[in-house]
Amino acid sequence: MATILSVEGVFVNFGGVMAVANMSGDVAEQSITSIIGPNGAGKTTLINVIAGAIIPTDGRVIFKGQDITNLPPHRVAESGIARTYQNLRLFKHMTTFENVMVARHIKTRSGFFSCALKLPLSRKDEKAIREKAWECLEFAGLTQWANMDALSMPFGRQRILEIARALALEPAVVLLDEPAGGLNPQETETLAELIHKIRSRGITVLLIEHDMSLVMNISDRIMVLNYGRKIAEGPPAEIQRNHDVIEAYLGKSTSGAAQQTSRPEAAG
Amino acid sequence: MGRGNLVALIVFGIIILVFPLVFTNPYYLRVMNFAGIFAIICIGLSLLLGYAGQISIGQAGFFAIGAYTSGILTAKFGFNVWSGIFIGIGINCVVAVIVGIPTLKLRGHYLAMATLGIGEIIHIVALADMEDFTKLWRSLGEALGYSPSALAAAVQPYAGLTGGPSGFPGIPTLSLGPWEATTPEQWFYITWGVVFVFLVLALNLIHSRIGRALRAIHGNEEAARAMGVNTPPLKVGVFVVSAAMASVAGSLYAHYVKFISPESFSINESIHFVVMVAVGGMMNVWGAVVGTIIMTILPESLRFFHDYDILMYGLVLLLIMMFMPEGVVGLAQRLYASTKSNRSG
Repeated sequence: MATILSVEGVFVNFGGVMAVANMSGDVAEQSITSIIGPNGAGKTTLINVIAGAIIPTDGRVIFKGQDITNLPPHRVAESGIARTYQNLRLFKHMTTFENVMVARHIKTRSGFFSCALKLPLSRKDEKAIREKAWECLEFAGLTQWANMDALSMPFGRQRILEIARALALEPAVVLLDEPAGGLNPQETETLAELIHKIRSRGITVLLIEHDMSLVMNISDRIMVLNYGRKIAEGPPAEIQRNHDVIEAYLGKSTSGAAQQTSRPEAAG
Repeated sequence: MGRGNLVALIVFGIIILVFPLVFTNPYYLRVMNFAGIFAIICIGLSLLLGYAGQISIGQAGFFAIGAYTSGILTAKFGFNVWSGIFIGIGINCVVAVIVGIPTLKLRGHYLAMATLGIGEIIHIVALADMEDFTKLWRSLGEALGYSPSALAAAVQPYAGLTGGPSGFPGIPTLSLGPWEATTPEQWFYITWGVVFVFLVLALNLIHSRIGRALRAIHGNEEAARAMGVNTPPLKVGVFVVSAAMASVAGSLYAHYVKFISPESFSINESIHFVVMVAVGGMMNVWGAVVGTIIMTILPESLRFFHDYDILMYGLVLLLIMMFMPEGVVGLAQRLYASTKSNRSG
């Protein structure tokens, strides 16, 4: 399948600490690609580089053949890459519905004047915003929470709202940063279904996750990061057997026994 | 804008219509007229502070630009009052864009300090008298290599237009054709009519894509950017809106009082506006109106305490901030919500 998003030789240097070192990789269109790795491996940093939140020290991010490395976050969003946050960043003092409606901002054009005077353009925009935002809530199964303050929803719902909000941008690629973090097994299962549904809409999913059973179940391809470097890449079955990956998760074994009996799931 | 706001607007409209019929005492009306003028400024400030999360301690500066533009153009150059109002808005918008672009990159205390400085600069310009201007032009002329006296002579007619520390009188009242606003009742309907219109505009704005984007910036700026909201133009935009509203208030003030002096536009006034918004409740534009009314009536009613009124004023403020940090309107909303859920549950 064609590549939709790729990073080429990306380095991120945080005051002497190399968070990401010479990272390269491709994400195939309409795939579910996962990035795994121990804490501090540079996964979130990489997401931030792609989303434009961090400008890399070196390297490029190519999306649909365009160099988007130096675009500010709002332009990256506009170009078709949406993201969620590991530590939730919902809009305070706004309802669930309003949180999703914000993501329709760039799809509408009415300005201060038109909005204050409720001119026809602004009314038309408002109607379109509501329709699309409601559709996203329905897709994510959040309609019953629509008029509730977003931050007063249960934690699991807030995670789903992050995804619904990202989808309202109608992105080509969605970056999910640990969407299963803090979810119970049942919620994680619903999440897996949602991710499949997202992909079947033709949206490419780039997933960062610690929940190994989720990653192994839904990913087409997995990249493994450790100390900011890519140490392995391949389909789930291959990654599960990879010697370097097991070592990164469990540490170096002197007897070799651990390698044969343990699989990366144990470290999840 | 929701049914709650619509009902509130209707009730508010009726109160405005009936008030001068019930309270005919000109003193009450005069107090309320000033409250109306301040409420216009506070609605703009509430959009900036409560919705966009950007503080300004320089609103008195924009208030001053509106008042002085209207005052100078009508009293000294014979302009029509309406052209004065619109030119004032224009000047304020330009100033707000120029000031807003660099300052709105600042956050929190730094933004507060920057806006405070701008308010103070405008205040100083208003305070400057003939002598200051002559000195300024002379040094400017020397720096630019012009003959100092030639330049000073050229700008002489324009120097000291503000009347310096003592201000200037003789500003005409608001008029439309042969009609002139003269009585306190007429002024009540003018000021509160403008409050009503601006309140409707503000509510429209809040419940639109622009308003939601502003609230999103307040709610989480990083996420707002990641969701495609380009924050700088929006922040500057709402700053301009607040400046334009303050300008209208300034023009009304000049035509109502018919005399202006720098005293009415000091830092104290800017702080006063922030307090009004905070007391009413920052998270709701109605708070700006309620807060302004409370903070205008309160000092008047505390006259009873004679020399201790300032002390009582401070005490009331302290109690409000301690026990209802969400403001009067915020508290009322919370109480209403809890009684409603009690009844249903």
